[in-house]
Amino acid sequence: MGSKGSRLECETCPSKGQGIFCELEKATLQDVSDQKVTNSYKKGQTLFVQGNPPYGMYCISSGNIKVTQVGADGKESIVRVASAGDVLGHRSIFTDQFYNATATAIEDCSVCFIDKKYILKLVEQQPTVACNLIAKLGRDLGAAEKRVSSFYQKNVRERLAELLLLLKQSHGVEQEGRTLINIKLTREEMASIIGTASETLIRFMSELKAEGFIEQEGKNIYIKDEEGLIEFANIMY
Amino acid sequence: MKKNLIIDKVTSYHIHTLQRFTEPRLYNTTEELIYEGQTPHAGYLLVEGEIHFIKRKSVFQKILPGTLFGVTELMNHTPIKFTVRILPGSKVCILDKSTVKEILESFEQENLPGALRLLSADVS
Repeated sequence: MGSKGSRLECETCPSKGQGIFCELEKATLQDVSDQKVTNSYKKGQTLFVQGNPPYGMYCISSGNIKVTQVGADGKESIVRVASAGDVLGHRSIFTDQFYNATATAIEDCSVCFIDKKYILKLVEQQPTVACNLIAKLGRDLGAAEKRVSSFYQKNVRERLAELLLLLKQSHGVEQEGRTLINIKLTREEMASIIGTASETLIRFMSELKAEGFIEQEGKNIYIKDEEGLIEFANIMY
Repeated sequence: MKKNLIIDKVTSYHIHTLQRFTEPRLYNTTEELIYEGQTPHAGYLLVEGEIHFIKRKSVFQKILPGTLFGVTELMNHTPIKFTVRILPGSKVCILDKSTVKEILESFEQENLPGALRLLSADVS
């Protein structure tokens, strides 16, 4: 028999305070810790695959995970990027449908898995978990509606500026008067999020750079002028 | 190759018993159920189709219907030393932790498949 796997207690989770279980009292949180399975995923490994059956929920302890959908034409598009403290697979638990997307690690991640029966029991017994899940579903729906309206109402330039602002909000790190977007997304992945070709994205990135809104150093992107980007993206904050 | 996974060939009686707790689920697409070095999220009873055990990109064992694996490793939090891949069109009964606990609570030790009997012995 092999050695015991690494156990991550919820109490000492790097994303403690950001998850849907974090408000539970100590004893219940310990019970969650005992029930879950924690695993590390390397870049490119999948947590679940579109079209396959769900049987639990994933809670991200560290790292970033892209959620992608493949359309009838075989094209893959990124629906969203989930980060530490986020949950994945929660919608399929309640709908009993197959996964409608694939979740893939875009960098090395640590992720906990909790089975469906346990989650449903927890939702029944712990109102805070139920409320946090409803709030999460509400936020997801809001983001999806915003994305749909962006696709109809904004051009690619505006969608790119909007994406950079969203990434700043979720992954921004302040560095000497500018903000580093601290997530390893390829240009192809960024293009997929805003629904364009990577060549077009690269051209518009150069435009934003020339306007002084952003700076690029190697693969790193920095936001230099947030106000300017907000105006450029044509959004109300 | 030395495996660190308990594999149990299950009788049709036991398959029927386990299906009372968890219905077979269809996998439409290839998926890695367990990556090398990971603890399984569930035990898996293959009902239809094929599952491959993979080490260094080569398949070293093909698992056929009627095989139960991963339950002991799930309950003991033991990582597995190879990748487990399910092929499209395969059906498995998924025995997650809650389901395993339910089964152990519902049956006498002698009525359980071997892999679960071991766990039951650990619990009692």
